[in-house]
Amino acid sequence: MMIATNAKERIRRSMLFVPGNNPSMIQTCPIYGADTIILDLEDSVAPSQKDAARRLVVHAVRELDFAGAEIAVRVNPPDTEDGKRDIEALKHVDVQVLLIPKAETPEYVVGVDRQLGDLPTALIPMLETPAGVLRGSEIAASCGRVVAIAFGAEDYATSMGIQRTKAGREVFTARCLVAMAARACGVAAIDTVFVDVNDEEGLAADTREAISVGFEGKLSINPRQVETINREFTPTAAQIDRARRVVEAYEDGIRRGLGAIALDGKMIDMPVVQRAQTVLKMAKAAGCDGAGGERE
Amino acid sequence: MRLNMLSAAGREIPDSIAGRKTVAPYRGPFASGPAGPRAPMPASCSRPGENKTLANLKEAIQAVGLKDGMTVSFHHHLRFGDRVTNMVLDTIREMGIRDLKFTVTGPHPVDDLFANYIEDGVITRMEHGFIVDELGPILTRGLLREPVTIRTHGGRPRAIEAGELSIDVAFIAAPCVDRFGNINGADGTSRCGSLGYAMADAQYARRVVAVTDSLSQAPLTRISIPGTQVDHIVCVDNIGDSSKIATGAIRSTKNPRDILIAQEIAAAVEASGLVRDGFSFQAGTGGVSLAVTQLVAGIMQREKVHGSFLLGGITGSTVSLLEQGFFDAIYDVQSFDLDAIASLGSNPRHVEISASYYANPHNKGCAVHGLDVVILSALEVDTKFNVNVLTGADGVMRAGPGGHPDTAAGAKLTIIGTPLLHGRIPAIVDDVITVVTPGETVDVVATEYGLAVNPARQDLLQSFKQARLPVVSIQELKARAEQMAGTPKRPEFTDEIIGVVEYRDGTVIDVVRQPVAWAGR
Repeated sequence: MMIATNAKERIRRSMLFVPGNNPSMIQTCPIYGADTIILDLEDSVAPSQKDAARRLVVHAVRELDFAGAEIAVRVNPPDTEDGKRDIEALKHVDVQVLLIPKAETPEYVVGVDRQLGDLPTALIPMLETPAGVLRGSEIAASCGRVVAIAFGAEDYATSMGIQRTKAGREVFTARCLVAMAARACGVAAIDTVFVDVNDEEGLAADTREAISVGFEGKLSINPRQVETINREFTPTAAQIDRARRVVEAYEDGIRRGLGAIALDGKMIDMPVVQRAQTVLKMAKAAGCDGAGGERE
Repeated sequence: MRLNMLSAAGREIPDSIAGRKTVAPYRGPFASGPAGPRAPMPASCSRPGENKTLANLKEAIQAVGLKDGMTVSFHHHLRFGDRVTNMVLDTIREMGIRDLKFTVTGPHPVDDLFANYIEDGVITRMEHGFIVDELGPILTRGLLREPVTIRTHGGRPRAIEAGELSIDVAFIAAPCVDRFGNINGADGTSRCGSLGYAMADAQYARRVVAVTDSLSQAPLTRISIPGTQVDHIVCVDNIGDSSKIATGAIRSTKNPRDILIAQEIAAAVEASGLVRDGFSFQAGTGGVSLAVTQLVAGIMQREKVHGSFLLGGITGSTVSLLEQGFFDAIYDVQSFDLDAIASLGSNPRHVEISASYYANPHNKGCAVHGLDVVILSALEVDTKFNVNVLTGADGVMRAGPGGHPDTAAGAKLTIIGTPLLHGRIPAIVDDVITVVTPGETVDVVATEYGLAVNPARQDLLQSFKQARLPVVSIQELKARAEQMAGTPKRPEFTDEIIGVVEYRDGTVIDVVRQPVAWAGR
């Protein structure tokens, strides 16, 4: 099995869920600027609609132009009949990523890996229970298809028997564990959804919090959230400028054979350079690495 | 023999149409001026101490001498709450008067129009601004003696003033009337705000009957239609259902696709450079328009721009911009919600205007000609930027021009906002079914897939590109719509003309022919 070479490098700032049984939302979803579109066959589809949604999603992936967005599908839990049918049906169309809900063990993900055979499909397991969060690094390292792990706070809170709050203290530790597990295994960490679609300020603050603990992207349940999420994950003009200067100074130092490289009187070591490279990669994905268009 | 002429919008127009004295094809937005002086206004004489109030509608109909074959008019300010039209037409039918021409200023449902008045021959002809409910199928089946004439909000008062639409009796639903016959729409239990569309009817109709449920003992101090134009007053229990006359504040959209279109439009308005001190603006009452209005206000705030006037159909959202000091004045031809009505009654900067001042091109000036920007919608737009706001994809009339062609012609920047598909029907096509607003008056079409700029506006195209707006060609939009939904099969039409689409200057821009599927039904 080989996943597509760019699947690990890909920027996934915003990952927008679109109900798999809603043709008009599927048709319009590419216009909102989400980096990844997740056609959902799981939670947003009623049990009686599963077959119809699966057919619709297969047809949409085959026929529609998603304007360059990455196409993912959240399948039903792969140990259910619906989940097995979902994966089987999607093997015949060009889906780049499958989201695996409620992953709690590495074996669970390896099962999907086997079912996919030689296909280049990447996987993003969703950690939505305490068991899943605690085995995050094993799940992230379970097979070469895993490009990211995603945190699902709503189901996590239900399994913990706790109330969700806007401040999110109750999920802070779990969030940090997911981000750490991802970093430890060299995959991306994707943050949970923010459910109050009318609270743009709250969404922005929640996204900044996710960024501060190491997430590289965020799930979204409404197209109106995409712009805010993308904006928060996009480096500011000052950050881009600083990153550019760091990388330039580093490359210049290497050319000149310098042992220690400094910028503005401060040492630049490898982690600083890597962080700067990530900033530039994000900026490029956001289309603001050239002239104009940067955030203030 | 009937010969076909071509309107400047490229549509075949017959040289004679039943019910019309002349047929002049459309030649361009400002190519045709008035044919002569205005029609005379009716004169009358009154005596001291006369009482205008009559006991009931029957007495009033007798007093004005309504006879078979005459023209009666109504206004649409009570919107879906109106009860006056049915009351008057019921009385007319009971009195055995027939063969009337029925004309209304705008969208206006009449209960059981066909069963009550058309099948019996009470109404045999119509001149309308807007087609709602069962009227579309009635007209499409060809149940009237003559094709319906469709006029714009500015074209209708123009036609009245030119004597082309000659009204015998105007029945004016009047929210508040004093004993002299002075009328306003801002007071009374059935208040509707502006009475702008009823003003030309009151001025030029041979006889005018005010129908009210609120007869003020005190003389009115706020007068929309003066008693000099009103012959009789009839009091009834209730002129309308107030819950359907005006709603609570109309809210902006939460539909993400519409918000995206609104954001694109607002960015286009800003890039045009027109948002500067003295800015004037009109947007409709739909979700996209309200969202654009809020976004434009945000631009004005950021750029510290002080606007001149807001125009058109007024909502609470427009009123709040006036109250926050973004604009100097509102010119209100129709009030759409309770906030707008309250503001019209209390804020001297919120000014009631007539439809003629709003949009009639054959005046010494009209408000739409002072507009910087107007935001409009469409049923379909073609690759020549012509807009159809009248006929559906099946060829049946289902809406109407309103002020669409008037504001498009008047504004410096006209933007049509539309989703690429209405349901599964492409909104961008090769040729619209009916041209209502000519493409030469449309500058930009905004969809969720980008902005298409009329090639005649290279200046705008450059500004939009500089501002890095998502500019696409109208052909690209059409191709994308067809890629998603397929190429729509257009209805076939017979030669039977069922509607005449007048441009605002009185020329004929297009005609509506009967779809083959409806012939003989």
